[in-house]
Parts: sequence; C-alpha cells; structure tokens
Amino acid sequence: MKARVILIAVLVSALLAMSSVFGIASALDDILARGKLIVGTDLTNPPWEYRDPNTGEATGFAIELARMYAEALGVELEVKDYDWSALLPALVAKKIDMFAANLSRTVARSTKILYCDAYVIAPGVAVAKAGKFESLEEVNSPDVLVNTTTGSIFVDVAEQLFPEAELITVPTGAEQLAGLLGNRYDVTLTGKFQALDWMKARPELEILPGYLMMDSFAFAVPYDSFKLWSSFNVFLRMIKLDGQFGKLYEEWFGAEWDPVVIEHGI
Amino acid sequence: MYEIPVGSLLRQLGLGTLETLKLLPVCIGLTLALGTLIGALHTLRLPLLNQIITAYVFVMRGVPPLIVLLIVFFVANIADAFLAAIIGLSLYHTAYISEVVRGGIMAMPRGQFEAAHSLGLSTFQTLRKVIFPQIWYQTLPSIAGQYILLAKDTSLVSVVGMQDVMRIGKQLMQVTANPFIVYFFIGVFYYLICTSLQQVSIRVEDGMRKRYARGVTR
Amino acid sequence: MEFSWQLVLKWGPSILKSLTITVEMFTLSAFLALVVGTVVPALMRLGIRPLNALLRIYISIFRNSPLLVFLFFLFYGLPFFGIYIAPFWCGVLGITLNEGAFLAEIIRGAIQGIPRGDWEAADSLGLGRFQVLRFVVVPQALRNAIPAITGQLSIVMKDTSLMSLITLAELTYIGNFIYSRTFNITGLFIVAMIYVALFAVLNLAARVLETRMRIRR
Repeated sequence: MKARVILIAVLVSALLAMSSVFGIASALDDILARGKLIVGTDLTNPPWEYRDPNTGEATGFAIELARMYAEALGVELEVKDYDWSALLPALVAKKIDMFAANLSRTVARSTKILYCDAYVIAPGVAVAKAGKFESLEEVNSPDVLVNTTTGSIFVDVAEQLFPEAELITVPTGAEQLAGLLGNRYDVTLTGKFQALDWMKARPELEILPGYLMMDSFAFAVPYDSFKLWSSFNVFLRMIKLDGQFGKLYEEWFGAEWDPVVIEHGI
Repeated sequence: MYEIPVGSLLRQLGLGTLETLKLLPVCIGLTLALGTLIGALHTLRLPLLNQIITAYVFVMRGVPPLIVLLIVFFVANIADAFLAAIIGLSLYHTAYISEVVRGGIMAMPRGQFEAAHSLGLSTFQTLRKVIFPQIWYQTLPSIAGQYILLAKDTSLVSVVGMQDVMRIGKQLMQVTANPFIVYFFIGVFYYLICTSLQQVSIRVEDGMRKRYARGVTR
Repeated sequence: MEFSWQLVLKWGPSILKSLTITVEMFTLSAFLALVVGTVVPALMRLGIRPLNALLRIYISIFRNSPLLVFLFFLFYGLPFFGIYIAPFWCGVLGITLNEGAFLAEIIRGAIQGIPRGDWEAADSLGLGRFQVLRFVVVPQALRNAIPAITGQLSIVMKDTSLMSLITLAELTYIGNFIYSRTFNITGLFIVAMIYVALFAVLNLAARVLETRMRIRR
C-alpha cells in the first residue's frame, strides 16, 4: 500500500518535471507567473516613449500600447529605460521581455531578435534649423555634420544617402534635440512623428522636404519567446479589428488611422 | 515642448538622486572589503597571485571607468542595471583601494611583524589584530579621497541603464526650455555629496587621532 | 562574444583616427592643467586675501563635482545663452579647470613643503616675492611632486574618455560605436588595450623623468 503511494508520487513528480523540461515553460509563462511584463525602451523619444514632464511617469504611444497588452494579459507593466544602442543587446540577453519602442525592422536585426507584427508605418526625415538647407541633396556634402542616435537605423541610412557627409551619433533622443538646438551639428535624422513632436513648440526647426525612407515600427522579443510573440500578435490584430488601435492612434496623433496595413499584411 | 514647474523638475531630479545615493553605501562597503583583502594578499608575494593582482591593478589604473562600465554591461548578462553599476564601479575602485591598503601595510615597520611572529601569531592574526588597527589612521585620507572619486564616478552609471540623476537630467533636458538649470542643480547635488563625504572623513580622522594619538608609529 | 580580426582590419583606420584625437586632447589638456595647477598656488602665495578666497572656492567646486556634469553644462547648457563651444574645446576647458584644481592642491602642498630656509635665503639675496616663487620655490616644488603629478596626468588621460558622451569621436566613442554596429565586443577590448598601452607609456615617461631629476641636496 505504502509502496503504491510512493510510486504514484514519484510518477506524478516525474510528469510535472517532464512538462517543464519539454518546452511548455517559456517567457510568457514566466511573465504570467511573476505577474509583470518587463519592457525596455529609451524614454527620450516622444511621442513614442518619454517621461511625462509633470508626473515623471513613462508614457507615449508605444508605452500605452504595451500597457494595453499587459492589461489584456492581466499583468503589470514595468518599463526599463536604456540608451538606444543598449536595448537590442538587453533583449538578446533577456534583461527585458520585450523591446517596446519605435523599433525599425531590418534584416540584420531580424537575425538576432524576433519581430512582432508592425504597428505603424513611419517615414524617416531629416531635421535642421529653418533655412539652413533647401533640399536633401545639399546634406550630402563633406562640410555637413549629420547626427542621429547610436545604434539606430539612421546610421545605415546616413551611410547610404549621405556618404560624403560626416556622421556623429549620440546615445539618446534628448541629446539629438539638444544638440540640434545648440548648433552641434547641421542636421539630424529621425522618424517623422518624432520630428513633428519636436517642432510643436520650436518654430526654428524645419523638416527637409522628402522622406529618407519608408519605415515600419514593431515590438520585438528574444528569439525563443514564441508564445509571447504569438500572443502579442494576436492581441495587436484583435485591437486593430475592434477599433481600439484606431482610437489610440487618434488620441496620440490626432489623425484617423488607415487600416490598409492589415490587408497588405505589412 | 512643455514648461514644467520647478517643483516637478526638482521632484524628478530628487528621485534620480535617490537612485544615485543607493549606489554609494553598497559600493563603499564592497570596495572596502575586497580592497582590503586584495591589498593584504598582494603583500604576501605569492607567486601566481601576485602577478594576477599586479596586472589587475595596472589595467584598472590605465582603463577609464567608463570603458569598464561599458564592458561589464555588454559582456556580463546582468539583468539588473543597479547590479551592473555596482559591479563596474567596484571592479574599478577596488584596485585603487587595494593599492592604498598595500601601501599602508608595507609602511609598517618590520619590527611589528617580527614581534607578532615571535609571539606565535599567524600571518592572518597579525594582520587582523596588529597591523590593520594601526594603518587605518594613516590610510584614511587616501581612502576618503578615493571615495570622493567614486561618488563622482557615479555620474557615469546611466550608460548601464540606471535611472540616476544624470539620466533624468537628459530626459528633462528634452522637455524643459533650460538645460542650464537642470545641470546646475545636478552639479549642486554632487557637490553636496562630495563635501559631505569630506566632512565625514575629517570627523572620523579626528576621532581616530584622539584614540591613536599615543602609540601609532612606534 | 568572439574576438574577430576582420573587425580590427575594417575599423582600424577609424580607431587610429580616434586615437589621434585622444592623444591631442590629452597633451593639450595636460599642459594647460599643469599651467593652471602651477599658477593658482603661486598666486595664492602672494597673499592677496580676496584672490585667495576666490581661488579656494574655485578649487573646492571643481574638486567636488564630476567632470561629466560640467561638460554637459558647457555643451548643452551654454548654447542656451548663445555661447557655442566646439566639443573638443569643451573637453579641453573642462579637463583643464577640473584637473587644474587637483593639480593646484598637489602643487600647493609641494610648495608648502619647501623648507623655510630656501625662502629666507632667496629673500636675503634681494629677490622679490614673485621672483622667489618663480626661480626658487616652484621649480623645486614641481620636481618634488613629479610622482603625484604624473598620477594625476593619468587621470587626465582617462577623463578624455568622457568626451565620447559629448559627440567627440575619440577612442571610447569609436569603441561604443563599433559595438552598436557589430554587437561584437572586440572594438571595446581593443580600445581598452590601447588605453592601458597609453598608460604604460605615460608611466614609463614618468619613471624616466623621475630618475633624471633626482634631487641632490
């Protein structure tokens, strides 16, 4: 009788042990178990992610999107703030569960991390002090100092589009803006939405005509976090269908969101 | 761009300063413990260990703390920014503290060691009960000076992701019209920390002088 | 985290370019900091009360605040008032003032260590206060303080690494940049080794200087 009980106990524990060994456990399970989704971002990129100047809380379109997802999962959201170039290594090293920011999709990055579905199309633009440049072609000259964030997609863009010009990078978006205002460089490259946000109260800046490239932003997870990836994609598609995404977009950007991206599977 | 009230600015900077302040006691404790250990070990002149420690100290004297922090951050997969900062700063400053301790031990007259040995004390006991109590008085100014440098090096930890006062400063710089004020306040904060450390060290030194004034260097 | 030689070849030229910037900044700042560090204590010896108070405040402020805060102040704060200083010169100015304060303390201590007899002898030879300082006291003080001064100069070398945070493309910047493009630690390690090599050179130069200037009394 006793032997039977022991045997059953052993079998049950073996089964439980096997279930964790055979890949049922994953990042998503860890998140649910600890009740917290840890996302990494660079809190100097309004309107995507920044600190609310009055409350000091992390906010922004990307942060609110992540918050909605965390709510849907039933967990808390924790935001970890890093320099932009440190975020991808942080994701690969699993210091964070998810990279939640205005992250561009590139093939090079896709070899290291798993991109979720894109959530917005956003072109890249060049920003300079008003009247400095007439067109993008003028930027491609040896006396021009071009700037962007270290580790951002615009470093590659600068090399392709402006090979003649000199490039210097800074760790965060805050320094990009401060440097531009302080005449540290002639022009800086960033996304359209960020540029528009900068210009809101700074009439001395202007966006040079023309887009540098078309870009799409997506969240990303470590390569083996399939459940998390799949779950987030389901969430994103659902909120696009039921109108919540459109509402969020309108709140943040004041314009109606064009759902054509779903049909084109971008 | 937003105009933030000075109160909110100070409050956010204040939160950042708390993060910076959290680093200090941990780093000071860690570097003191490890530095003393390594400094003592260095004086023993054990064959392989000696080379390793000498190399370690040499490298830390040559490499900027910023590089140490960057390498620690990117090489070691430390999940927590606070931990990465502690490890980076301690790795760097322990080398210096160990040199100060080693200098203090080597400045002790040979007679002390011989007398203790003749009384049957082991090396470990000699160090602990005879040498250390005496060298603290001599080495305190150098150690205190090193910790003021440590306090200043905490301004670098934003590269490992800590929400310290410099990082908050950068984020505020973006939204406030006036980076000048932000960095002025940050400067004042660090000045207060360093001068406080200096005051503490002077008080401790005075206290020690009264206790050891009689028989320090005999 | 593999060490890759191809990386070294590809980024070699940029690393060398950054190395020249680092060395340039070091030599310039070290020289200027020494000037400041010598002039300030000499001025304090002249005994002008308000000047001394001012200089003491300067030393206190710069010994007790981090260089990085001062650099950000110069680089991002001054443009607010319309003053634009290039990153290289922000660095030189910052290091000069900051390390100048430390060197001032070191040299002040060294000057105080010169025996009173030297002052009196020079005085009796008819030399004025300023001349005593310039020809008798300061040269000796500098010689006595060589170990401490070279120690401080190695800190100047390390301070140049902070310029990477104000858009100067020196060694630390290029190390970090290489990492952000390649995710390979090689760049940072090479940069670290270069710094250690520079420190070794400095150390050697200091040792040579010390032997050649051994004081014979």
